[in-house]
Amino acid sequence: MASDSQDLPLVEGDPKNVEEMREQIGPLIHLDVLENLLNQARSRSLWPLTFGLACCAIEMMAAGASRFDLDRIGAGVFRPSARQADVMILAGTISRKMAEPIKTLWDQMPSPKWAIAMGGCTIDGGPFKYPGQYAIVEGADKIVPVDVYVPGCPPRPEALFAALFKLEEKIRAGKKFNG
Amino acid sequence: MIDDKLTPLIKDTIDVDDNARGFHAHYTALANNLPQIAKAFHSENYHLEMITCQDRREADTVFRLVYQFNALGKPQRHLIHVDIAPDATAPSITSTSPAADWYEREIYDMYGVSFDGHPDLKRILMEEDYVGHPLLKDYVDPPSPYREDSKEGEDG
Repeated sequence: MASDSQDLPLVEGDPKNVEEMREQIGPLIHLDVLENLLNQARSRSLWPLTFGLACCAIEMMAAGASRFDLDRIGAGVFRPSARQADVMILAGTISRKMAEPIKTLWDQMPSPKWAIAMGGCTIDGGPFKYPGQYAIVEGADKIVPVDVYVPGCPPRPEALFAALFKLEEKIRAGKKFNG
Repeated sequence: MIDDKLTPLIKDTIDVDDNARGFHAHYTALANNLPQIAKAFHSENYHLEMITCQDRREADTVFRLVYQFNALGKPQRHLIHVDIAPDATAPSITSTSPAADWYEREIYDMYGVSFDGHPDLKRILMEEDYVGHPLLKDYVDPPSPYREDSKEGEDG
């Protein structure tokens, strides 16, 4: 009964809707050992979504090419379909017109999924941020929940590797992750 | 020659100099003559280089449309200024110069100037549900979920 629940006073941290509640509780049955195993597998086989937004994407492509070779850490399988990807590397300035398609792509990706904000523009708008600007999204975290931020303009491929290692660490730690 | 065809269509000649770099001829014209001007340039194998707009409502109470035509092979770049009233529309030249399509959409998006006869006049750079025209001098961007509304003078 929606009307009943609205009468109850909400305290801080209260789940306000079913989605939030599910996120807090997680799955009903916990198989800790299996979860750990799955996380090990997930972290070592990241499939990024093939898409670049601006100049940072050039560095992302360099990271995927032969000199740096993302395949060495199992993250080189760039998927052309959001349905097959589990990492979104936001590489470049996000214009406001692009915000909606990115949200759609993020929603199309199956869980579990992670996001990496690559470069200054995706962290907070970078050089394009000024009072009253009308063109860009000031930070990827205004659209999707970001797991790892990579500073740089653009970051070198090594920095993207470091971000992927950090993300692997985060996935393997599961809920025990602390920074 | 292009000059003969342009003479009846232009309002004022500001500058014609065949030895100048940049623009070799600078005219002003009335908005009604724009389609004929575009046809005249088209018939002489000129192409449209750029259309842009200036918000001069404060100084002259007009929007100034700026058209550039150029021809390859000879140094002939023409600049045409067309002043229109803020509430008036300009005729589209897309039927003669298809390249004008996106320029006119951009001017509509950024300044709110409408073009009569444009096949698909809608926003091109801003999102479709955006309100207002950001390059107007007096425009203040509405609060947006995509922007941190920082205080004036704060280092962005």
